[in-house]
Amino acid sequence: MKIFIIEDDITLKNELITLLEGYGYSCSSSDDFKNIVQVALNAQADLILLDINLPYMDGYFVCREIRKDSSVPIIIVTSRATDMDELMSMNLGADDFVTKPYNTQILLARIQAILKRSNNSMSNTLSWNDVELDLSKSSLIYQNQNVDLTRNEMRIISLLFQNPGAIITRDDLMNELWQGGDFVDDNTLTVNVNRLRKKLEQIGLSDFIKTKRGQGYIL
Amino acid sequence: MKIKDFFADRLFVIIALIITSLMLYGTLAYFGLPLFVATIFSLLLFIIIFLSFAYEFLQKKSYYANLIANLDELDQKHLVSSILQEGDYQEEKLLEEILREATLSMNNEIQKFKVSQEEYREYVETWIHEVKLPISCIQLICENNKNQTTLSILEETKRIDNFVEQALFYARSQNVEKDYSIKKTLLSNLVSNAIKKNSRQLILNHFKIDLKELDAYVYCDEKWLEFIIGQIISNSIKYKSVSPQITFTAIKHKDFVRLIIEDNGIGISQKDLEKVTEKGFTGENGRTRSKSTGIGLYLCNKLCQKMNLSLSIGSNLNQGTAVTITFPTDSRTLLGL
Repeated sequence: MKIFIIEDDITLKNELITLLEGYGYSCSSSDDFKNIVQVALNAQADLILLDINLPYMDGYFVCREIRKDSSVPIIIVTSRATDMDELMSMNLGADDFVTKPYNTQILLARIQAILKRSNNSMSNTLSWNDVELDLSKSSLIYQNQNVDLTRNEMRIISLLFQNPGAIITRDDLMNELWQGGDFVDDNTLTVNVNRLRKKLEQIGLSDFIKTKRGQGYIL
Repeated sequence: MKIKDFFADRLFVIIALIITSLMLYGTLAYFGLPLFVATIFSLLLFIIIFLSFAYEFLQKKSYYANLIANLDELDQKHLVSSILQEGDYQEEKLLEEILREATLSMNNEIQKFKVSQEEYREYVETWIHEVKLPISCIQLICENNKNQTTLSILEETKRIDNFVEQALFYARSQNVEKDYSIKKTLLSNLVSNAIKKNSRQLILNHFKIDLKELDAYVYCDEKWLEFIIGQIISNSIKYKSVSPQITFTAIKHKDFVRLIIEDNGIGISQKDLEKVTEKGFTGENGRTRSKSTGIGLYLCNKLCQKMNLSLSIGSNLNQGTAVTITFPTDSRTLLGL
């Protein structure tokens, strides 16, 4: 999945690229704001992240110009959070509207939802050590064996997959589940992790999620 | 205007009048007119001039009584010059002119402050939008380089973001114009979003969240209400006790929906309770626990008032605090928004 980023703050742009590439998207961008509309169209991206405050022309204008030639999904990202801004964005053909400073989990969720909607046949997978995680089908594949995961299990395993080799704390996992709207407590998280481990054992992945005592979990 | 005061003002004229009458009487008597004719002439002089005084008194009394009555009915007393009626006397005309001039100058002065206040508000709003960019950058940098240090930076950045958000809503709450939009919204969505925004802090402090029957629709501005709930949550975090918990309950009535946000924190003492929504009030908790600015609840209350919602706070010391927000569902109330 290719995402084109239109953002004039270089630090923010670079960090966004790092973030999105970490989640398996490929990113491109341009500093040629004079011809940004043409550059964006030429990039053939699956989704465009668009800032409002840009040099030469504002994001609303860019949005309208892109819409004239393409139906590529556009998410407008802005620090102006009034209803008026949101309404303008939607009227000009943007698909979604996210305000700065954004919760990265929310931004990622919105990107995923929009890509899913615009491209049903796409397969968005993450893989690590011969294990494949299919984000769109919510299933885990290992040696031609397949196991379906629940929403919470999916959230836990995908956070681990996105940070392979890094320790994920219990608080991180809990936050991930909370962002999905399930405000679980400590015990429920333990139950979810244990259930997930049992499912992994079924397809021959025992001790796939390792416990780091007092710190968290690691793949 | 009292008759006594009126004549007290004219004491010298009256004394002069009496002297003149006496002099007239003396002069007429000296020239040999019969005494009773002299008496009649001098009395006549006295009475004619006295009557003209009485006439003036009645006219002035009615003018000022009218003015004072109008002033009493007037909501904004400084607008008095516009209800002045044309007076008959020079003094009244002079008074009118002075009042008009004073009002005009004051209106100009007020206008100056209005403009400068509006400019300041605009500046604050712009500044807030600008400062959000570096905050976003810091957050992303931390998310991309997760470790113990960046996690702490992320926490602190969240605090900055909360303060910035508070400043934004403060600037908006001072605005006389209506800059919110009331929509029909599912209460559970509002509560969920507010919890998600504060999830890190809540998890870090091991909060247990309990949601009860929140499938009610309410009329409010989503962003404002999420901010209000967020402020209440952050208070619960600040003043937490052991095994902290927050319960969100909705109660549906015929004419209104109530959202009750209840925690099991350290509570607020009865003497502080009635003052917690006052601007700048910090109370015992704010002084002895973490530093408080006394803005949070004041702002919540103010924003609620603007949206025609009511906010009430109940608390038992060492047991917890319950904040209740009441949303009218009666269409007649909603028409006013």
